Amino acid sequence: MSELERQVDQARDSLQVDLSAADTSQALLRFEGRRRRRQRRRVAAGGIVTGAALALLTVAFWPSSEPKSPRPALVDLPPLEEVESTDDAPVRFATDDETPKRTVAFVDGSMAVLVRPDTQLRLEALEPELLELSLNSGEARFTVAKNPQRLFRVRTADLRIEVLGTRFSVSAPRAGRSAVKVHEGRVAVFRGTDRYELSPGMRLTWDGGRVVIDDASKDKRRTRPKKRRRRARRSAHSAPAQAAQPWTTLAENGAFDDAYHAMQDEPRRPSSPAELMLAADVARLSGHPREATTYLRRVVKEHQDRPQGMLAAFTLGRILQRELNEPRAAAQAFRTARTLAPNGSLAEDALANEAECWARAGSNSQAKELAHRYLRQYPAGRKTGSMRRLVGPSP
Amino acid sequence: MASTDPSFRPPGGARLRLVRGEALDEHDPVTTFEACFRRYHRLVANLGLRLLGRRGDVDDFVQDVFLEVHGAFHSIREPAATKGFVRTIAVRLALRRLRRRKVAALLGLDQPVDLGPVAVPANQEHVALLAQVYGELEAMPTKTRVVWILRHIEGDKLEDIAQEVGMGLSSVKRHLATAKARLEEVFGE
Repeated sequence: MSELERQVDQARDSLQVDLSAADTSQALLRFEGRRRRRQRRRVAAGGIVTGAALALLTVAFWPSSEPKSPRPALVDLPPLEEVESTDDAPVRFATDDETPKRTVAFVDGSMAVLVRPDTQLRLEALEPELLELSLNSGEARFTVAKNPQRLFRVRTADLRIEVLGTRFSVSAPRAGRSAVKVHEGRVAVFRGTDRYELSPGMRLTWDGGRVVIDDASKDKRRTRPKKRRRRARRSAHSAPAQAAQPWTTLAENGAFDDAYHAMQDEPRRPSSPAELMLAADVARLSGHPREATTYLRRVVKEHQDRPQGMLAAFTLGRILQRELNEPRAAAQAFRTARTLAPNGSLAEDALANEAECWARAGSNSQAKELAHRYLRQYPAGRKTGSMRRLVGPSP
Repeated sequence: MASTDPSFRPPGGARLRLVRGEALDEHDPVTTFEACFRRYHRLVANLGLRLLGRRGDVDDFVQDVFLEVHGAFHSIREPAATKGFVRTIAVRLALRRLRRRKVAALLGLDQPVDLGPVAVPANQEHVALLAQVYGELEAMPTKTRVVWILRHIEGDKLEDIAQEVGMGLSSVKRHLATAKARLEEVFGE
């Protein structure tokens, strides 16, 4: 080995990209969007031939697959980006008198059985870290595939249920009354700031004024809620080994609630862009979006020159737009994202989102101007429809 | 995409077969591909940085590599071969990009080497040395450059390099000798 090769051998470890699990998640999201766009372009290129083939196949399959099929209806989950825009196009699964029972099988192996004829289930979010459904009425039984990376969450009007691989039922016969029964594994149920952990055989009922927990293996009893004080939280996370793990490890394993609590106890605050991004994910996915914005703003302010700066600005915009309903601030965040990476892979989405946010904030002239710009820059973009609606009919 | 309301779809999965044929063949390929992405994201990013020598190109490179991996994912018969498969796609995509870059350089559209930001703690002397080496590699033929980087930066075996780049073992040795002679000339050994 020559002297130069020896020196290079010593130096080569310096040549690495600084990536966290959060960076990978963000990259995966971008990848999904890009893959779908490419797929759409190919479909468009196929044109009439593809359309005709699809129509023929649809006609061919439609009558042969009426509800008698013993197989569950595997649902073609929409792509991540489209699922994220559930305000515009929510994905719903419902039963009625004609179809009193229905099985929905998600492609990750999880299943939901809608067990009553008035059940309404809606897909709220599908992200690498989160699959969220809301049960608006009726009753559904869930079987969740074990996936430490993805949290499975079900909401009713009164409760929030989070699991990582188990079987349980949720019923919401009417507003103000919900129940959860666990068949297998462990489930965390949240009522406001109260958190309950249910084991197999336990049933939690919210009757509009109080929580009642029944344990099939013991006599019926009423349990007081564990308040979200730090000490109580520690006892709620019964496995001491898990509680002792650093918050970053917990977050990378998908235990965002535990990671959030561990992060509060950590004396050293996140400082590197990767840590700040991960902290933002932890805060957001454990139900603290406001706190997530603090971390993201720090990344934007202190690490603008890093790739994470643009991602942070974009994520900040999304949280302000969708979770905190602050369209004006969201528009400014999307503008920052565009400015930081004008030719980046998220520039198109940032521009469209900014236009939508200005429209929602009441600044129609700004919204129109940006929509015009979008249509000029991305004439075949995937948001041309909504941008045209913002522009309005041509004179 | 058609209506996003599945209640309008025929039960039995027929529609799913149409839209996501690969989903039924692989029994949960989304999770499998997702695992592949999560597992090899860092590997591909590092490979991209090392082969292309530009931090700004890495994100785009990663996306392109996984688009190709996704397209051919169903053809991987042996899970243990996934890593080699991903690496081969990454190396060949890097070769294509570097060739395009040569053309851009002829038109005066090329950009300088940009290795940062690198992992901490990075020795600044090391970074400076690597920047010099990459400056010289820019002037070499694309395959010579890639073969040398795979050998001395990635630490690959000659047989693996031959497989990844798609050439014979003797060609790999020839490219390495060419690069070595050029670098020794410049760095005065």
